[in-house]
Amino acid sequence: MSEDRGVERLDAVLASLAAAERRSRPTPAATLEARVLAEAMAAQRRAAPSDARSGGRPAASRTAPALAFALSLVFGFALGFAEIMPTETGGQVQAQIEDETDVAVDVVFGGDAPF
Amino acid sequence: MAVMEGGGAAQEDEGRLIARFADGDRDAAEALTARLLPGAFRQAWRLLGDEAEAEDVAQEAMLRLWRQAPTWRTGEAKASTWLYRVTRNLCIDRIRRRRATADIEDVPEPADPVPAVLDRLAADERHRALATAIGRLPARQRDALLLRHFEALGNPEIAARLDTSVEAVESLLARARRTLAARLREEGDET
Repeated sequence: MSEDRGVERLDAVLASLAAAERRSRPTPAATLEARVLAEAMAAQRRAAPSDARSGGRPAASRTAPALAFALSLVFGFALGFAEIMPTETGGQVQAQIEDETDVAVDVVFGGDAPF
Repeated sequence: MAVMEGGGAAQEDEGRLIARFADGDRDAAEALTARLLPGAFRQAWRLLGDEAEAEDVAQEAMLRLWRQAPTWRTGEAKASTWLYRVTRNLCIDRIRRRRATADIEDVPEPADPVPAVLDRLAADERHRALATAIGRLPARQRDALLLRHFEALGNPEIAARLDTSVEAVESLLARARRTLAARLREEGDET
């Protein structure tokens, strides 16, 4: 048998075997997708337990602006708003907040900070 | 939800979907499931030849993706590539467990799983010869061939799935086809 003929024969048999495979291919049960999605939701809840009630945004990014506003009032009265803005002062405040709240305060001093 | 298909756009989109999933987005979980679960299930079914086991493997592979999502590094690996490997490894584990409880000669070598389904589907002599020949191909050639002819993927998608270059896929396919054609020729000459 020539090489060309061998390749032609291969293509034909491959196509035929692939077609047989497709015909016999099972469809995953609908319950499989439901189980997978249920596990996805459980994984999301485990990753961010406090998010479950409010649409899934990370806890830090949701609570930080409110916390920042409260802290800005406290530190604003104590230090004056002019002093809280510079990086050095922000750094000190950030360290203090991290000590007290364990919140990622880079969000507090990001573009969304309300002061 | 818009889900882009194919090439780099799909890769970028998978990364975004995983990031959104990690951020608590249920729609992203649904989109990833719709996109990735059927392929993982088919891959497992093809290797294990058992529907129930294939469902278990596909479910476990997806669970691992969910767990991985918060630390997923976008741009480093395509989710479908990652899932393909995880599914393959889970199948190898299953085959290994089968070997532990069965006659070792009855179960394929676990480090190099062959598509169990093809043997069963072989309806005639030609199919049987081809299924056997596919089972004897080196693993990378066999993976490329199955993705090309049974999953109908293009070479770029196969390259992404196997984490290699398109040129390497072309070479794998060419070598696989030469080997298979030679085996079929031998079989044809004998009959």
